[in-house]
Amino acid sequence: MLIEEIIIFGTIKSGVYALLALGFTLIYGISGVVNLAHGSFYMLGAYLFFIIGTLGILGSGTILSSILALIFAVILVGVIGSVTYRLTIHPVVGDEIAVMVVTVCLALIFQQLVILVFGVTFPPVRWPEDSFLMTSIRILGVPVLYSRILAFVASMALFASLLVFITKTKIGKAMRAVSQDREVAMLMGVNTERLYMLTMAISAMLAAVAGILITTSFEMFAGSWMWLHPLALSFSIVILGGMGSIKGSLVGAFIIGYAEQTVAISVPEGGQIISVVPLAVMVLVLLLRPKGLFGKRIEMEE
Amino acid sequence: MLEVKDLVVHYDGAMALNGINLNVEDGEFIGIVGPNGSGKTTLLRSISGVLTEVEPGKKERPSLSGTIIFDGRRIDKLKAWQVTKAGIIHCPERRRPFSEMTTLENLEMGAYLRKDKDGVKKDLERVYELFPILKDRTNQMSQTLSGGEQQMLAIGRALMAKPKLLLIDEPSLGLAPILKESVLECIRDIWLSGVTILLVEQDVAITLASAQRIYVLAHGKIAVQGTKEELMKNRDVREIYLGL
Repeated sequence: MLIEEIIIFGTIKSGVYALLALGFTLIYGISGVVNLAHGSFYMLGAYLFFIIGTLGILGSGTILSSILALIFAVILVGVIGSVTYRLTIHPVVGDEIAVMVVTVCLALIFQQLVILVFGVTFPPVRWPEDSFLMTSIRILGVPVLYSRILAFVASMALFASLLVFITKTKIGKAMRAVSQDREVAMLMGVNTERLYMLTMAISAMLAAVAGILITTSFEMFAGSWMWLHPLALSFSIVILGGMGSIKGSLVGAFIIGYAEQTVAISVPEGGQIISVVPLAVMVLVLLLRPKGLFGKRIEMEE
Repeated sequence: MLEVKDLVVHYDGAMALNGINLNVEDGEFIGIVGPNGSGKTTLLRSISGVLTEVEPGKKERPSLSGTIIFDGRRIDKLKAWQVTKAGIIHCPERRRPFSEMTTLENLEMGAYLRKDKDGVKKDLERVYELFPILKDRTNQMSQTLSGGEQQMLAIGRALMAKPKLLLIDEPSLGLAPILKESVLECIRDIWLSGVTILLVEQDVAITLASAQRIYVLAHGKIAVQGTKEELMKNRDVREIYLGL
């Protein structure tokens, strides 16, 4: 029973974590930005999903309206990500310390905004209560909500389509070109500024999707603190997998996802201490193999 | 076609180019020679606009003054991608292929700004005709290519952009003498097909053999210029600048 639960819920969470980390690694790999506000986009996704659902502009109470709300929220976060990037991060790109300071400030600003608007109320971020997504199916004897299955399947599908986007499309190739040699990519006619803005939009959207999928399927409440755990997750997954490595973000997500779930289920009161797990893994990796499992970009930059 | 006037470039507080005047007519093959550190690469980087494309947060920024005019239009304030769009393609020093992309993907990147799919397809055929070895390497990662193949890839990639003016930086660098010859032969073919060439080289002999006019760069200035015959006539120029 115990091991089955670890495997099933570990797999589901890991899948969503992979998406979250993919966004983080993408913007790092392409523009060199370590975006410490990545968790904020996760948080904004969940809040905007809740707000749009509550306002009922796109209908309410049905799965369709929820999915529309999700899409709309994710696009909004993409726009927010892209605009904040252009206004605040882009002017300091190339100066790592300044980028970190700016992105930490952004994270705190978003946190304060949420407190301003919501005060001490913590909205539940849910699918409609009476939809089939809130019913469950037994897998290996463990009851699993359909919403969680959806979270996993949707994450993996998005991850795969992003891979196809990067390898097959013209813009995807330009992204890879910039990550390999920014200057030569410019000589080929790539407008890097616009490309960075697009990458940041995609990165923020991935975080937003992850935020909505995790909160809805694990029936959580949104709160102004909720950007911190996903940030720790993205950071540690990407350090474990190797900064800038897409394969690394997938493998790293599964390692950390299972580790978290193992602690949550097998340690007494484990649920209270899971946020320590990614950080502990990160410290271990930094001690033992600082470039991560698949990191080579860092080596190449010397 | 291209006119550089009083170009001055400061780099890390030091002067890299000190008042360069140069012009290239449509259809010419121009060579620029000069020793290491004379400012040849800086000159090409200034023209293609990549010199001033430092990331916004970097503290050390090269400064550029003077004017660069291409096809009657000032380009010294343009971004690198706009210069590329205008038709100047810069094939950089040390070839610099996108190492984790295949030969084909590298060539496709060359055609990044082009919308004419049929034309791109035709040019791809042409590049493969010019450099048959690249066809055999189509799906190979470019980092596994030999130095000569990488140079052909870099030139092919630049050709895919359909340049009006092609800037080539040290194509012979690190190549065996026989390969140098064949790479230069290819550049001559490209020129004969109607592309204006501005070639920067340390190898004086092969430049003299190909270019119609030559500028000799020393200490960030144009020391002498002229046709091969004019330069060779003067014994001082021959000994001091060309080492022949």
